[in-house]
Amino acid sequence: MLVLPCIVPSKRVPVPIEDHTASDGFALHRLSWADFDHLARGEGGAGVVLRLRHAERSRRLLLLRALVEETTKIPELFGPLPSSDAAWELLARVQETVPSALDLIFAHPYTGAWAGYTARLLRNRITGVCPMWMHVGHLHALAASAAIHAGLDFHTHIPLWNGGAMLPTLGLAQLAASSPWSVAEVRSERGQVEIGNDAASVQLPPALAVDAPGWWGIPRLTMRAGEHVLLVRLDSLDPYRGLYEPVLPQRLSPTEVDAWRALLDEAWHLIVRHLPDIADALPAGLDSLVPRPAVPFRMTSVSTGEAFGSAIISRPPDAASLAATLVHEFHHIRLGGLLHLTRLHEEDPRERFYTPWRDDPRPLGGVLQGVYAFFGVTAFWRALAHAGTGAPDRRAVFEFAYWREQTWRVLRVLRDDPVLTPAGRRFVDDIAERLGPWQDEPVPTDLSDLLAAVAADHYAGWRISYLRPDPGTVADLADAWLAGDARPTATHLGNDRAPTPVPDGSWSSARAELIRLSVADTSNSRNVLSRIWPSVPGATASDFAYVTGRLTDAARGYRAELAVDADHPAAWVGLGLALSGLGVTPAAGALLHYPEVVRAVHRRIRARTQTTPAPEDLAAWIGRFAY
Amino acid sequence: MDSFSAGMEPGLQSELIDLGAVSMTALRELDDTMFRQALQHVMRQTAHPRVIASGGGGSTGRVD
Repeated sequence: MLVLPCIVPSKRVPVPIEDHTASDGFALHRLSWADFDHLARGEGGAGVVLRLRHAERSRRLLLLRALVEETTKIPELFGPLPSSDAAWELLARVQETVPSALDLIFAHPYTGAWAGYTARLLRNRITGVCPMWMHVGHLHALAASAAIHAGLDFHTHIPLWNGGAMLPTLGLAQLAASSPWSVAEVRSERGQVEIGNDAASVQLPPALAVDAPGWWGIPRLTMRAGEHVLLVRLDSLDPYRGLYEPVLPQRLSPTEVDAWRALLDEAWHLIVRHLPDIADALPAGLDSLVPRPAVPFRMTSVSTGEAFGSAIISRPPDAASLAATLVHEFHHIRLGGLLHLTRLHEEDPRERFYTPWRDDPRPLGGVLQGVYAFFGVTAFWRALAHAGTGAPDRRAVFEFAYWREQTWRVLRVLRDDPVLTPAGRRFVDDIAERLGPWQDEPVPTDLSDLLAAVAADHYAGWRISYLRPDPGTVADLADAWLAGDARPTATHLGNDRAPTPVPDGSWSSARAELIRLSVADTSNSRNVLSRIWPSVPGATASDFAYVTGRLTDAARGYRAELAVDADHPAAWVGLGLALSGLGVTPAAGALLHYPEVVRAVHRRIRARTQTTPAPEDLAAWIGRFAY
Repeated sequence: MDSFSAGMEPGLQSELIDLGAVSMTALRELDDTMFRQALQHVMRQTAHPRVIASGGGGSTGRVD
């Protein structure tokens, strides 16, 4: 008898199944304004998330129906696999026997990702990573998984990719195969399931969540903190777990699973302790994680609207980082569900916004997502910073203060944008209602300079990378400099042109990383930093000097870097930061507010005369008179 | 988009029909105007999936 690791009571509210023959009497999914406002403010508990999930189920059923209808017209699309009728009939049997097994498969995040991906292939008449029949035929794997969850006797065929036969939510059977794309037979009788082809056969083990000969299970982790329980699959196998295209499985070692279990357990305790509202809601909206390897100083997390319930996360350095990331991704998941119900903005792909969480210009849709997600991140760090009666956690205070201010900065631009719909404006106003008052909460003064430096660093880096100054202004300034004018003609530099999507030079977040490391370790940060800084990607000795307060050394170092590469964005901005710390105001002002102009003028002078002005002299000349 | 039907709490109404009470067998047979519109709606949505993707620098370096 199989022990099924994933069968859980349906999360949706049980609804009697009826045999409608027309949809005219059906309701449309709706969301009350009360739920909408709760959602925007990061509140609402599990109820509103379950309503989003209920809508996702309808959406996936509709997509499935559309796919089957489309493929029925062209039977060859299923290749060597049975027709869609067989899969549909099996799914119907599952629903009649164990409805929760069907719900489980339709709640599976990658069912949504598969449906969306395959729909795009069919509409665009293109082949994906695999032959079309492999993608279309994944429907049989979904039906087989549902039937196994339901304990049915059945017989079918499913796709085999590089010898791996995937049963979504359950695991992957490894068979030998001479072709990258072939077919495996699945047979279930009296609780025994066997998957095989001409070359090999695998009997599913009793405990499906763990590995066995020929079988890779999907670990199912349970985190408990008091009455709060978080259940997630750690899915590194499902082909549709990625972002854009199907990907091959990557087996997790027991050590990796244990590391994730420990981190998740600690992170879950942090969320339950510090954000109880989120702890109530999150388990309803996050049930699958795609683990990615840790990359030092490069933690990533990703989600898609189609895979409601899932996030791809690289292994974080500590539990607090993971907790912040879970909250971040949960916000994306909720907003993704809401956007399937209503429009918060018109389509506008123009990448025209600065955001402090991305190095490149972003379109409005991405900005809205970011504001909402970092609103959640801010809430997490705020709660952690305010916890306890002892000295506050400096890292939490720093992250709270940074993200509240930066998110607010972007929100204020976003809320006035005409591309937002009335609902979108209401959503942003709801966030502002919570985020606004946090701006006035006190922060230790010794962190203020560091916060300002990180913010100025990133903004100047964005400007020098993505803003192209007006060529006429650059030419006038260069001419005036070369003519030896004591001052440039009064030049207004404040009207930015639209950013370009192509960076002018590469940017490094090394200084921000080093500042964060110094904040996290207050006991002896210079010693710790002196050991660590060379391992931070892109960090230079000048950055280390700047972060440890040796501003003269830092300025000298950045000048030397510019002497080697006069276009290097991080060196221009670093020089501005160091000069700002030294009180050299005009040059620092120009380098931090208009670095793209200073560098462009510097370039033009070099190109015309083969001479190289001293960077800070030119910056001071521009900064003194331009505004 | 706003719905203020009698007896219902004011709120947003989507273009997505609620299939919570529809069996798989019945779903296969549905074929009326409202259903067709809902199908077209979800298929349109798949044209531009929202990917909140990839991360980079900084200890909190995730994207959007």
